[in-house]
Amino acid sequence: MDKVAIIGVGLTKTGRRNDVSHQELAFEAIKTALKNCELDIDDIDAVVYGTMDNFDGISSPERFDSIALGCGRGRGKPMMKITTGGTTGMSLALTAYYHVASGLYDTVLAIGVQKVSENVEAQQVLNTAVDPILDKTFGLGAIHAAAFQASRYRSTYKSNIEDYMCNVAIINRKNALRNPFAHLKLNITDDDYYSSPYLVWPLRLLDSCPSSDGAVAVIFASSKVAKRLSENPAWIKGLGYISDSYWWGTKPIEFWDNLAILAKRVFKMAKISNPFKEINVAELYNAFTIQEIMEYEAIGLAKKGQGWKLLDEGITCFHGSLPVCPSGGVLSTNPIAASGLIRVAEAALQVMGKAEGRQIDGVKNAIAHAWGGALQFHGLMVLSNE
Amino acid sequence: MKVGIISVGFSDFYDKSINERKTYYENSFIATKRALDEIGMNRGDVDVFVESSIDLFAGRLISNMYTCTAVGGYLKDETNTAEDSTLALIYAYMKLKSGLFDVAVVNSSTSLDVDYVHASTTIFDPFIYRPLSMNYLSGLAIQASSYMKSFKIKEELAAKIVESNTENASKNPRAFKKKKITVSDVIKSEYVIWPLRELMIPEVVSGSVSLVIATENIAKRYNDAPIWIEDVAWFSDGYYLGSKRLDFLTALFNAANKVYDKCNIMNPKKDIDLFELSDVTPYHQMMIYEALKLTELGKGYEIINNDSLRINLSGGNISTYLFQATGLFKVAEAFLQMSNKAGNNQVEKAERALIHGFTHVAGASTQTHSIVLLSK
Repeated sequence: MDKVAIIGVGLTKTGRRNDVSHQELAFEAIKTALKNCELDIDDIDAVVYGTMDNFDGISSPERFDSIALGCGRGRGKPMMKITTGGTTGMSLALTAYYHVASGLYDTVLAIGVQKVSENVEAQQVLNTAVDPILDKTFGLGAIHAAAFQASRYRSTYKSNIEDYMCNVAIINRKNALRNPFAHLKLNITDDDYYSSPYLVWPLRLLDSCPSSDGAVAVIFASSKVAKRLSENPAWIKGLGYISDSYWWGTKPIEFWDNLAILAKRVFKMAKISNPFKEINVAELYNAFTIQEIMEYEAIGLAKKGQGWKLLDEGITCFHGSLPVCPSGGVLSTNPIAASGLIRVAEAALQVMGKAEGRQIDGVKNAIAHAWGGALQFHGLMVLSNE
Repeated sequence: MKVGIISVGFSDFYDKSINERKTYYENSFIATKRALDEIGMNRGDVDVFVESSIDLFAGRLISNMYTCTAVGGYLKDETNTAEDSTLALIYAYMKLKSGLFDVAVVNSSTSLDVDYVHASTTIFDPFIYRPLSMNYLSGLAIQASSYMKSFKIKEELAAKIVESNTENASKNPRAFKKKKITVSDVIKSEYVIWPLRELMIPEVVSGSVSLVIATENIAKRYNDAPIWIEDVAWFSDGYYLGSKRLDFLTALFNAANKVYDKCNIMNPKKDIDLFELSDVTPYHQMMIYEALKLTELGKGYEIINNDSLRINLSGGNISTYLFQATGLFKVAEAFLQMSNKAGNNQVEKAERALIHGFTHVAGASTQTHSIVLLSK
């Protein structure tokens, strides 16, 4: 099987983007990605597109975004739409990878777009995902699921876990100050954290991600094209996806065992035997603070129930030995269907040495992760500079 | 490395008159279980699961949250395409071609919890098309009228296509509607949206279709004669109706050229034995003939009475319209014909088949046409 690499990344400004339409937002990301690797849209063989329609307040926006994707030039273009909830962005990366790894295409563009500001309240939209008979009437959304995780973790492993969630909230928002594409850039203190209101106990406002508008485009290439167009592409060494059942009431939600299973598979593929030592930077899908701590454990960076120790020792902060989310993570920027692909883009930039103000020194291996569905989907990718 | 289809499975199909409808994910389970049982396989033998579900029409956000486990994807590699289900098959094919996996289940289910025409109004942009109450059907009607005008096509020709497809359906044990519709029936039926009459418009039914595909060595363990995926191609076109040709399916033409070039198909009428085409309207079926180069531009009607071509033996969309699951239904029908397991409507010499998938959620705007070429 041929090697596959990322050769270009295009990020947009995020936040409330009333200045652009959905199409223009997609175009902004695509134009930047193409410019970064000196390609034209006609050089792109195929496009993989992702959004979660309902958050955009419009259905199937890929149809009118198709112009921005280069489909409207008479010849058209192969386009495939993927929707898998919060993991959509990661699913796009995986789909683009298989377009190339299959030998069907050499240069493939993955684009994730989301304008969450187009809907009134994202949690109400998320409530339309859950079972209409058993779960919907309770008002369940993503924040409730994360609150269940936090309360279970608190009672099972660490009664003062809020102190560590506070650390995660502060570190990520401060990291975002280095990232020109981040939405929330908050120089917050412990006092700010503890005075922020509870949304769903034990999660506070500052434990939670924002609703962002934003897009990201990532160009995947075969080794032949990557070597021609890029001096330092980000090679994909391992990748995978796992689906679990919908019913979280039957799962031990204080530990993400499905992610633990996936991580073992992906690290085996990437020939990584000790992720704590061999991974230099991690872009994790930390939509809520507790999840970053649980992800440390599931991915194998810490023992079960002891993820908080990494925070105690400063390991995952920007200058730590294994920085997590130097971009500010999902906690700072969350254009939902794009967020997973932003993790891949940020990890690729770190490996390529192009992360500018948020660059970590000496990155050889980076990982990108996303979760989605009813705490049931995970995608994971390992990128390397060799 | 070759990838082949080794089994297919269907759930029962339902329309709105049948009260015992199941959820879309129950149907996904039934179709997949039947496909796996057929070859003595269980979900543990499957590496990859790819579904095709469009949340808008499933009536649920992240609709594969439910189907992922129903098809057997528990703790497995699984994903969802939001297109006609031929693209789910194509994605699964790519995953196997990468060499990382050997066996995939592809599934698509259609739900009747949503009114498809009304739901599709939300697809259109809020400034230009939505104020016109555009929906997928009105877009297809605009395309049909453009085709009629460009090539002076009479509606009797479209009615003949309906008659031909429904005649095929009357012989197909798996078609949902088996009643033959005559030219006269079509012409007497009311206009729903000009130039489309009621009996020209396929009615969405609910149900599910699953395929099992595998790489060569594994495929031969489970099926003595797998049906190989010879090639695939797909293209999407532009959105704005005013800036593209409406009387010709350019995206399908591009996909056909790609497949024909790669597979050295000089004369598709002779080189391909079966065609399963997505007749979203009979006018589109004529346009599909032209885009597939079965005839010249504007002469799609010439194919109607060509008995040497075997087109839509399944009965077409007009008889079994599973919306985005339709593509997999057509692939499954071609598989059964090529495997000599079609039953009452079995034909001889079915060595190579072309299946056309059609994502038309936005009517004539940004259509995605896909081709799956199968061979024995």
